[in-house]
Parts: sequence; structure tokens; C-alpha cells
Amino acid sequence: MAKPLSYPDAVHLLRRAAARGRAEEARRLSELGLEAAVDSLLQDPTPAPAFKTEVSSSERGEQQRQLTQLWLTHWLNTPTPAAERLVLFWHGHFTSEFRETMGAQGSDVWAQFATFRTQGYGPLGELLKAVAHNPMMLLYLNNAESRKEHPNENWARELMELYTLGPGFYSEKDVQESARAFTGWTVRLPSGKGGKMRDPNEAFEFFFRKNWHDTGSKSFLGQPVESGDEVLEILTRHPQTYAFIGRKLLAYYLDPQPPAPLVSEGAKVLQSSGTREFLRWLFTHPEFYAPAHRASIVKSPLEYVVGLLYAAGQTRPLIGKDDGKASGRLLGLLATMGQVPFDPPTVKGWDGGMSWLAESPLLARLNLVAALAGQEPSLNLEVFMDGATGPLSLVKPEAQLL
Amino acid sequence: MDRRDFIKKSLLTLALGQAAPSLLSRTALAAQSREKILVVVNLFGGNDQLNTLIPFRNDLYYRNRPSIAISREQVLDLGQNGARLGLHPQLRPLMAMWDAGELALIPQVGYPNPNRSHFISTSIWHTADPTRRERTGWLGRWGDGQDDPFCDTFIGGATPQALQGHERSAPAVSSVDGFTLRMPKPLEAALEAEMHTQRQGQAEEVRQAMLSLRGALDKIGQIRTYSTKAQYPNHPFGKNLADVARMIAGGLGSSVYYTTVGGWDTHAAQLPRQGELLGYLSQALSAFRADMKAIGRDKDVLILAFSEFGRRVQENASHGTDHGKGGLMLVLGGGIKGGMYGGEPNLEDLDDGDLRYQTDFRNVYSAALGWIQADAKQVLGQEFKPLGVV
Repeated sequence: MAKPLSYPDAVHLLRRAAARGRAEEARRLSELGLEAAVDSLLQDPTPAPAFKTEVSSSERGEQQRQLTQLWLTHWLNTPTPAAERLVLFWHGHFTSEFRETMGAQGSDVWAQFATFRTQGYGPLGELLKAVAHNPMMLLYLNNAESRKEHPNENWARELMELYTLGPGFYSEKDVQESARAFTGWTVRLPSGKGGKMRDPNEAFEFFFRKNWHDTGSKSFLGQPVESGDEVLEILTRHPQTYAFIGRKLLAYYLDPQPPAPLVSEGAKVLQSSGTREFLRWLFTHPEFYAPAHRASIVKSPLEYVVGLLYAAGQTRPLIGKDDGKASGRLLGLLATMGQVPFDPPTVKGWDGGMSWLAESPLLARLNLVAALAGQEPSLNLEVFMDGATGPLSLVKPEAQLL
Repeated sequence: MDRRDFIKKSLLTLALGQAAPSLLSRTALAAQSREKILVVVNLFGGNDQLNTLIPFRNDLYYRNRPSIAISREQVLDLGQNGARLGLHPQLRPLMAMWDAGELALIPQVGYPNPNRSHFISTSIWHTADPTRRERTGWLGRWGDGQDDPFCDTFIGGATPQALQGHERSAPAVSSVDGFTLRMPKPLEAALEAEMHTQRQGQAEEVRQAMLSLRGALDKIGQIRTYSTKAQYPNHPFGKNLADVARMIAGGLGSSVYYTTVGGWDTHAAQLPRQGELLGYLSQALSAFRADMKAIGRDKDVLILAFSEFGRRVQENASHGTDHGKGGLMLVLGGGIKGGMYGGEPNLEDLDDGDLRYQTDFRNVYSAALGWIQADAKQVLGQEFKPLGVV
């Protein structure tokens, strides 16, 4: 017999999985029962629309505004919103900063997001491989310029420090040796038209430049390797990769301080079965519904904005007047709140937690409430927050929590 | 101090303020006026030292920069003690300060094993730890030991690492005029009621954050009636410095104000971009000091400007310069010892195309910490001889 899913549990599940929802959706999930509800949330992601811009390759600010519109519109409308919250997780984990990556165009950013979307649920090793070959990443962490004469250690270092093992599980020597293994992993444009000729709609592709590659033998984490692929394989087999990322996933989906037994159990699930099965395990776990973990996570600005607009029945990420400045206003608001999409503040991603609620960012969140004036009739806050009784509830502390 | 103590304290301040407004606030102002103030300006992006403090008597400079050098006749000659260097013409407002001994120029400031990444180098400057082990900021660690939630203030959106401690971080106020609650009365009344309803767990932490926002709104609200007298350039940096002046004039009471101005990453078309920014910088600094003089605080305020690195000596193919190493620091104020702290850069002995660093930035931090009576050794983790600017 199917396990039941109470309405309050369905609200919690939907809010955590998708950061977006309305009462009728939670009711439908509740009717499905636990397993089927989780299945329906973890469906294969609906592809996002393509990025196509009319502006030139030098107008990167405008491209970023267009990308923001594209992504948030998709998040507001997609039948698979849980995939988009997971895209945000990978974006904050396998970080790339558009602002810092001068060689990249909007199409490169959007191609990286497509990787997060299509491979985000799959085996971690596959996602890691895709990220390591991703042109946006290769440009961002300078591996695209890395050649045997001057190996660039930026990617190799962050790969271990931030993306897989975490500090303390490798040596400086491992950084240097793996940097040599990744030399020659670079990018190229299929048309060959770069620089001022660059079409912002044409994305880079991965290219292995053989004569830049250091073919000598290297030692990585005590094992002999030659290629970057072998480095990735070692990291993919390493249990610490799953403990590190699994803990981060639990902090994102369950509680900023996940219980240790769940962290070790989760790491095993993640290693054996991939991210979708990890989430299925978590969402069907009794601990997920324990009172201690409810409303324990501070919404990020993107989750706050998407959740609020969706609760107001909006299908476009529009704040205030629908004029020529609307997309700039949205990005400005997100900047004040501390989360500009496609531009994490550093390679470490967003710190999150209570740092989202420093004075000016919190003020921006509260002032946003007033921008919803006139939309009260369509406002449905049941999934957005606990304890909502009407529009005035938006000033409750609970509105900031996931 | 955690958020809860912070709130108790700010509520107490508020309550006392209401009980005996004029006397208390006047006493507070008087007590505070004896204290020194540090204003830190982060020029984010890597300001090019060689086109700011120009070796205009050196032919090598002109040979390395055929299209972006500042011509000899445009350079502002610093004279006798200027180590054969001169300032960018857009820095003319600083010349009077130089002549009065109120401007210190510190060329080629850096740290061992320089890093050319904006992020890493900025983080090194913010944490004051070139080994990259430290996560807290130098001023954040100082703030941990302070009793006042407004001991430091960041003028901007999100408090940078420099101001993040283990226990607390500086309040972030993006602008004095913009820092207002804009909601209809019923919502505002509801917010007030919610803020006074205690909660549990994470929701209680959010409520505490709301209360500290409310404390900051009240404090900044009092500042809003103060206006500046001097003319600031119409640029975010001018606006930020004008806000610092208002905060000081209004008696906010911070010992440290911190702000950031970006745009210095001049990989292409450097001449017009850097010139414009230097113009805003010098006009804003000059206006700020005029305001400090007007309220009798000029001798109490030390301004420190830094960038995460300088730039490559040789210009690149796009009439710009790439990331380099040692960069220029400026220290200004009515109470400092101006002058040149370092010599003319050696353009023949470069470090992979960059100026070699000459002065460790922590020697300058040590002086700045001494200015606000902080324990520099404790904050920096080891002894750094303070540069003689104070």
C-alpha cells in the first residue's frame, strides 16, 4: 500500500524540492501519496528555451539581464521546478562567474546551465566529467590557457578544494600534478570566429589541444596518472567526494546542520545511485519530515523572488512596472539582496544562511512585499511560507524560510 | 557579541535615547568625537600604479607603454621628495594635500608569493593572510572584540570579507537615503507586531535579524537629517563617501567605515577609463576632507585606499594592461604623516613582467590599526612594524 503524505508534509516537500508552489499543487501531491508525489517531483527536467540574443558580444551586461529573465521565467513556468532548484545548487557548487570570465558569452553560460539541468540528477561522476569539459568552466578557472610550459593550477586546485574532496584531503603536490594532467584541455569556437567577430549566440566547444598537453607521468593521490580523465576517475571513486557533496546537498535540502548519521548514509546513496536516487531517499525518509528540520533553511534571494512571484500567480519575473527598465530592476534587486544569477560572489559560491539577512539585503526583501500591491487577490501563500493568513503575513519571519 | 546582545544593546540605546534625548546624545557625541576613525576604500579590479604614480623621468616607462603612457607635460610633478615620480593629471585635487604633508603615497605594496587572481588576491588583502588559511577579515577580527554593533559600518550591499568576524559582521547599509522601509502603513504595523512576537529556532533568528535591521533603520534614520556641505562627484563612490561624511557628522559612532569602488580592471582602453575613475576618486576624497574640516574632525580621520594588485608594466594589445603584482596604496588625512613611502620602481628588474612588491600591506594595516587603538599584533596574528604614516 502506498505511504500517505499529509497536506502539511506535501507543503514542506514541495517548498523544499522546488522553492515554488501553490496550495492546489500541494493538495495534488498529498493525494498521490508519498512515493508517487516524490516521483512526480523528480521527473526528467523539461528543457529550457534556447538563449538567443540580438545584442553584440561586448554587451555582456544586457546578456546577463536576458539570461536572468530566461531562467526565472523558466523556473516560474516549468512543470519540473525541482530540477531548477537543483540547477541553482549546482550553479552554487560548480561555480562560474560570468562577470569574471571575459572570454565567455551568454551562450556559454546557458550551455553550462543546460549541463546542470540534463546531468544534475545523474551519477556524480558523469556530471563531474561534463563540468570538467565545460567551456565556461575551462575559461573561468583558466584551464583553457593551461599548457605544459606553464600549467595553470586554478582549475586543479578548485576541483579538489571546492568541487570534490574539500580541504585536507590532498596536497599541494596533487594540485600541481593534476594541473599538468589537465594541460591542453581548452576550448574553441566551431566557426573559428573569435574576438571582435564573435557571435554571442555561438557557444564554445571543448577541444583537446594535443601539443599543449604534458604527456609525462604524474602521481595523483598516490596513484600514477597521465590524463585529466584519470584524475577525474580517481576523484569519482573517492568516498570523500560523496561525503563532501552529500553533506552540502543535505544542508541545501534538509537542514544547514544535517545530522551526522544521515550524512554518512546519504554519501553511500549518492555514490551508489546518483543524485536523483539521493533525493528520492531523502524525500521519502521520515527524518525529512521531522519538526526540527521544518522551516530551518533561509531562502536564498532567487528562491525568495521566484517563490513570491509564483505565489502571486505571476508567470514573468516582473517587479513593478513593465517598462524598458524592468529586467535591470530585477537584477538590481537581486544584487541588493546578494544573489546575482550567473555571478556568484566568489568561486566558493554563496555563503547563504543568515548572511542573506544582513541589513540592506533584508530591507530589500521586505520592501519587495510592497511591490506586490494590487496582486492580493491572486496571492496564495500556503506553500511559500508557514503560518500565512493573508498578504500581511509576508512580513512574518517565516516568509524568509524554506 | 551575538545578534541577541546586539539587539538588547540597540534597544537599550533606543530606550535611553527616548528617556533623555538631548543630554545623552550630546554626551555620546562628545565622547565619540575624541576617537579616531579609519575609512577604508577598496579599489576593486586592480588599479594600475604606473599610470597613477608615474615614473615620468624614466624612458623605459614610455617604451613599455607606447599608447597608454601619460605624457610628461601632463604629469603633476611631486617635486623634491616625490622620488622622481608624478601624479596622474586627474589627481590634481590631491596636490594641495601632498604639499601640506597630508597625503602618503606607498608604491609597490603587496605580499609574498603574489597572486594575480582578483578573487584570491582580494581575499588575501581582506583576511590579511597570504597563506589563505584565514576565513575572517582583519577588521572583522577587530570587530569581534568590540561592544558596539556599529563599531564598523559597510557602505554597500553585502558586507565584504574584510569586515566579517567569527562572531559578527559589520552592518551593511547601501545608502543613507535608500535605507528606508517602504511599505504601506498596515504592513508596517504588522511587521512591528511580528517583530515583537518571540519564536523558536530559525524563525527566531530571522526575527532577531529583523530587530537588528530595525535598530539600523532607526540609527540611519537619525543620520538622514545631516547633509553634506561639499560637492561630491556624481558617481557611486562620491555618494558613498558623502554618506560616510553624514554618518560621522550625525554621530553614528563607527570607528571604521568601509566602501568599495570597482571598475579598475583596465584590460582594454585604459586611458579614458582609469582617468575618469581617478577623477571621481580625487574629487570625492577632496570633498570628504572638506566636510571633515567643516565639522572639526579632519585630524581624526585616516583614509586608506588600496587595490588587490597593480598591473603589468608593458601594455597589452588592447591599449590596456593585465593583472600584475605590487600596487599603490594611498593614505590621507589631516592627522597623518604624508610623503613618499618607497622609491621609484625599478622597471629593469621585473617579476614576470610585474613590479616587484616592496612593502607588505600588513605594515600599512598595522599603522591603520594603531590609529584606531586596535591591537595590531592580535588582529594580524604576528608583529608587523607599522609604517610611519601615523
